Amino acid sequence: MWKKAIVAVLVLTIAAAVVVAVIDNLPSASAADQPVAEATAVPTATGNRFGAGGQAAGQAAGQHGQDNQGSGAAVQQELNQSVDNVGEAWSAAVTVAELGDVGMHVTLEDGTPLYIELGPSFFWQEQGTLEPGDIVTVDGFYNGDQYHAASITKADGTLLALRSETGQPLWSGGASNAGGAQHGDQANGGTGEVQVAPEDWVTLDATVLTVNRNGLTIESADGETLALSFGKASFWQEQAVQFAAGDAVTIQGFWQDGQFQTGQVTKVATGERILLRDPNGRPLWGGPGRQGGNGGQGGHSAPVTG
Amino acid sequence: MTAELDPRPEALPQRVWDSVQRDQLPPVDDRDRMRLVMNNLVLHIHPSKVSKPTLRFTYTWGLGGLSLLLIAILAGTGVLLMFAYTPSPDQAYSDMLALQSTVWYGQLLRNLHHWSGNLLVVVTFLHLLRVFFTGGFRTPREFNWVLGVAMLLLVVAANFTGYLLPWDQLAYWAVTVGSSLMSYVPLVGEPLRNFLLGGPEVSGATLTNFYGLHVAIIPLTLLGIASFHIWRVRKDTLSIPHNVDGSLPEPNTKVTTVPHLVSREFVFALVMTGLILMWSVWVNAPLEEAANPDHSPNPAKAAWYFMGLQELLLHFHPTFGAIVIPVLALVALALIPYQRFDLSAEGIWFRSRRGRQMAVVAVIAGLVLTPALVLLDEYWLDLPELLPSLPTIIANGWVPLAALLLGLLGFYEIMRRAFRATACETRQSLFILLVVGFVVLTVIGVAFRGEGMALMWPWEVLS
Ligand code: HEM
Repeated sequence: MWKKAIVAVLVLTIAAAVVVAVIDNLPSASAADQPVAEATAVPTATGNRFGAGGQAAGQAAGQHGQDNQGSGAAVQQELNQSVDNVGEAWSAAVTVAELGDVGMHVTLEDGTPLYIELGPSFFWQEQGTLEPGDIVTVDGFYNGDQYHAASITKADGTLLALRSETGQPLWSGGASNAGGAQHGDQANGGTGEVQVAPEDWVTLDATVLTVNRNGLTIESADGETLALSFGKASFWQEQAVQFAAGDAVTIQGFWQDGQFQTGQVTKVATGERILLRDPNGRPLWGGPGRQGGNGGQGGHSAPVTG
Repeated sequence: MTAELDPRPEALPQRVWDSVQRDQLPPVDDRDRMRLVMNNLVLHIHPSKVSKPTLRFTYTWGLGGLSLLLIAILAGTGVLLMFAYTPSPDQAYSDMLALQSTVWYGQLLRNLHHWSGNLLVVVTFLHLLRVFFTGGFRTPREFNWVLGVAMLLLVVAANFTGYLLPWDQLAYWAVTVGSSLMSYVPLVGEPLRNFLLGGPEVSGATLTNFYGLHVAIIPLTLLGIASFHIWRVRKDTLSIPHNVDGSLPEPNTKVTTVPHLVSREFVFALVMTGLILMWSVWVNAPLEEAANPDHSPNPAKAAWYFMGLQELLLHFHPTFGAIVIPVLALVALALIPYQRFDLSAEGIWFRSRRGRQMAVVAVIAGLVLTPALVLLDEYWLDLPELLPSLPTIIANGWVPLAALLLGLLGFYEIMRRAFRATACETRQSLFILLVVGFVVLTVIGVAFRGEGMALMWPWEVLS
């Protein structure tokens, strides 16, 4: 008896879903190829996938009328140059993976990784904290090549406000140069998704700014400030090279996921150096277990692709 | 009159030895042997006589006993590890390094504990399968099956809490990912997660909590339930193996536990201990860089036994992927022995000849259908996009689950009719389909998910 009831419920569900699918897709399919095209451009996070985001998308699109501008790639390209084109309203629930200087790497519900621009960190940090692993709802904009966050709602309800409803950055007090600033930051490569093969070592000439427990803060020859973290503190401190502010150093390392991974640091004046990673980029402080064990199913977190 | 003297025929060492055991050693007849079991604290977990057919190795595969052996190894090595480990974020990782480099046999100790822990998950699961496929859960053993399911969960919980203790990248992020599954539970999920983690994220408080759970609460609970489980096996006796035609493989006579059962157990335990020891000498437990809360590995994966669940989450709305489906599955699993069962199938591997044929079909179906569904969802079917007017919890939760359940019911009906099978045989094939599906999902999650949890083809995995 209840077996039949269950089957009936299941069948009804599927039938209803088919009907809804037909209704949902019939008019839109004929009226506009456009939304469909956009949906494929943003494969995993269309606004309407998330209830609240869908509404936001509707409002913002209404005010801006940007729906129409998405039509041609050329137009879009051109608009990207213009200052306040942040694109379509967009919203998603994401998990924070890593925080950069002006943005964050996140993963969508289905695991797709994304980079979302947040603007200068001092601005949002005044409003609250973000940590890797946080599950947050991002309302913002997508212009075809970059995601900008307008507001971030954390699981506990805290709201970080970054841009206005029209996409103007709140931190600059206006729309004037926001676009330029972000793109500039991006170009520096400091936060871009750099996937480095370990053979892509780079050498930096730099000056030590500060020495701390975790490593050094340096200023590189081209004026960039980097905070280097050297992994296990006792490991590098045991190598007994004294660094002091003002020391000229040569650093070898590589960029990985937007972080500079230090392999070795040489003090120019004395030639002393500390070794942190082997030529494959693997940390030397990992101990003998790392080389010996092939890990079995425990697996290494970073896929060993090389 | 002379006082009656204690006859002292033996030398002192012999007398000390004799005093250890309450009965005369060695036993000379079956009565002695039975008394030996009854009067011995350890051997007393066995009845004094056992049915001869149950001794065949290919009936139990020694899997329950192996679980016990692994628990013993884990307890022994675990206590030793406690001497070299401090559960604090500052200390834990460097303790691991010190353990591996300066403590005598420290690396071996860690390897033994690590591999035994992982093996226990596998062996417990295999034991469950063995019991299922021989119908060992039949009356009066239903409740022992339920206890078994509870122990399986405890074993996984023990593993999960232990995972964090090395405080390396793998530990930190696997637990972050694993515990975030919990926050998908409506209403209580978030508070529960905060309670378990001692705050909103993995931190020093989490390490304290997990340490307490891992070294005290979970082992004690497991030990308690395991004792009860063994006691029930002793009282309910083991189910008797039968040939596929229903006949007994050999006359159902009883033999004394000493030496028939005990000697087999002893040899098996010795061989397994040797194998585990050898494996642990050769293969080191993984240890990554120290935990870095600011930098997540990509992809951040949960522990391997949760990868089936993580894979499910990629295809279903979190409420369904993390809660509804697993809870349904666990409840169904615990209720298995309360289903009606063919009395004649007890003790027969895979129920009957027909049951065996159906099992093969079900395995093939699982191996084909599961990857097919994963690919379908990954590349072609986007339900939320297809059903934009429905909330995702319906579009990507209830709708696909309903389709799946209908598919399973369809499979059940087709199998039952195609083979003219009994309900019992058909249910077995459904169980196999689901188990194979779960294993395939786990394999996909572990091996075929790369950066950003993107699906990789086998040749990409190998390259
Ligand atoms: C740590 C986990 C476990 C331990 C130490 C353990 C131990 C044992 C032992 C020593 C036996 C005797 C026969 C044999 O070796 O097969 C047994 C039988 C049994 N176990 Fe377990 N077991 C565990 C988990 C489970 C699980 C997960 C289930 C099922 C859900 C289960 C259900 C049963 C049943 C029903 C029997 C009786 C089988 C029969 O009479 O044929 N046990 N267990």
